[in-house]
Amino acid sequence: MMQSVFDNTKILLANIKYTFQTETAYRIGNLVSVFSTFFYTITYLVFIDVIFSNVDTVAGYSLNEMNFFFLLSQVTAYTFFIINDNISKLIESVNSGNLDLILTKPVSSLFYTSFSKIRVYSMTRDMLPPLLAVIFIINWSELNLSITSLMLGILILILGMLIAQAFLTICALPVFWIGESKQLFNVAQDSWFASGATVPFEGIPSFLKFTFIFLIPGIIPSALATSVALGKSDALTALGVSFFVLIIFFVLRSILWRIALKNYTSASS
Amino acid sequence: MNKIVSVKNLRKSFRRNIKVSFFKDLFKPQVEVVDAVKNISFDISKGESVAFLGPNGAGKTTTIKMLTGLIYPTSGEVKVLGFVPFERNKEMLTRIGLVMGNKAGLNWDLTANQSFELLKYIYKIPSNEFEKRVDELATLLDAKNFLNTQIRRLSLGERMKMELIGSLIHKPEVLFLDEPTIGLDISSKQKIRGFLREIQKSGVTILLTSHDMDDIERVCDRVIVINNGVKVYDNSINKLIQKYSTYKYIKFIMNSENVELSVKGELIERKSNALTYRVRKEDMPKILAETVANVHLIDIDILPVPLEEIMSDIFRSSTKI
Repeated sequence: MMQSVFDNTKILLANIKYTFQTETAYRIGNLVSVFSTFFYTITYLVFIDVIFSNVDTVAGYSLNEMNFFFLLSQVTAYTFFIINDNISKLIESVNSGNLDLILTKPVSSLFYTSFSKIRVYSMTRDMLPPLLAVIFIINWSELNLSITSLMLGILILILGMLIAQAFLTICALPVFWIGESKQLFNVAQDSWFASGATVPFEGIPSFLKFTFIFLIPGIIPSALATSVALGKSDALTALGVSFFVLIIFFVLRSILWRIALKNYTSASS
Repeated sequence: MNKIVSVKNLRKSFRRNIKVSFFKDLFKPQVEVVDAVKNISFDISKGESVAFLGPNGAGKTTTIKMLTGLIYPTSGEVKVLGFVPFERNKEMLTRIGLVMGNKAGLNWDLTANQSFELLKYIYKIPSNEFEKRVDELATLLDAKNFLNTQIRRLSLGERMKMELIGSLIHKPEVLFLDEPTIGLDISSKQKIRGFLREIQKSGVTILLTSHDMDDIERVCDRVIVINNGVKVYDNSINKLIQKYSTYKYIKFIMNSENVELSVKGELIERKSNALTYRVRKEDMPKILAETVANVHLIDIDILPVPLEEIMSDIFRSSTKI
């Protein structure tokens, strides 16, 4: 078990290194995306500011807390792009039959397809400037943050992203049966993304909370993590629920992955 | 001899949707079951070089895919190096290599050396051994100059050489090759064929599918012919040629042009002062004696019927069955 974790970590680090080399292989880098993310961030901050010029709080969140929520939802979004990249690549590989060359390697195929491309360089390049702006805007001393609550919030964010990875992989698996799953995957990622990015945890109705925690687990890494970090939700309950959902989705993904591989037809190109 | 591959009554069926009409397809889709491989059995021993031959859709690639564990058989038994391939045991995967002529295993944005380094981690190859191995394989393939070039900048032949190095870097005991020379120029093909022979001499068992008969003749000693999912021939290439070759090609080269010959056989080619006939083997002595007596000849060539033609005859006759 420990040996397997050690081996997988080595491959993971190698993947990060070679994705970095791939990203920097071309001398003329495209920096346009930095402007795009920066512009989006500024627009959204202005939008929040306009709303709070008419009201004092939204779902119990002050402007400052809302900016903090925006910060965590943006971290979630940029991390999400790594997951999205790899799952899209998985769908293409199954379609083209290129998965063959991964399945014949002595690595966990699920692990390898999940983390074969980790775009640290472009993620940092696109994420850092706009998020630095948000970090600068937040009045940190006014937030009800403690080291413990912040750490718990970050832990829930990490668990939420792992759940997202499992959930979205499951949504991509029909490609093994019907040869296509891009549409379903797009619906799943849009629902996941939309559910957690805009409304604070306290503002979501109970039946939607259930849906977006257990069925389309989109509110865990951003809304729930923010709520825990700000001390608005019970941290232990939130952590327990997150672990439970993680286990359910991991087990489901593992079972469905095995069934999917049995149905792999290995397209000849 | 050591059995490396053992296949017993292997069968693979695929379900295929039959198009009827939009609404029927939507609510009550009709499905037919197609047998891609039907009860095939064979064994392969250590160090053998075996070709899988057959027309498109015959079932040869499906067989290779079952042997490498990529797809699950519908029924039957398969063992490769003592393992059941579709269980994807890590030890088995460390001991096999796969090259697919129409699929890229290396990252196009990286150099070959960078891609190989990732394989070093996957196969847990010690650094000094890794460098020695890459150097050894690159020397054999005459490809040392391309190791630090981005894969996408390489020609098809150079890329295939890199794919071969990548598939052999971990010293596999069995190498599966699916159309390794597809689309390559003649010199690249020759280099790769020679390389595969060298690799086989070092004890690697080779299983190859190809439509190029020269690949088969140069690389393999044994041929398994599959047609319509059924094994129709399994023996050495020489025996195949002896058994199925009931014809010979005779090429008469004369000292003048436009000479007509009366030969009991099919005229295959006419080239200024040379005529090539396809004749039955038993008619050959008589034809030669008569022609030599009646026509002034510069030279005579007697050629075996090309393997390609023999294969085409086998495919035709097995289809009729």
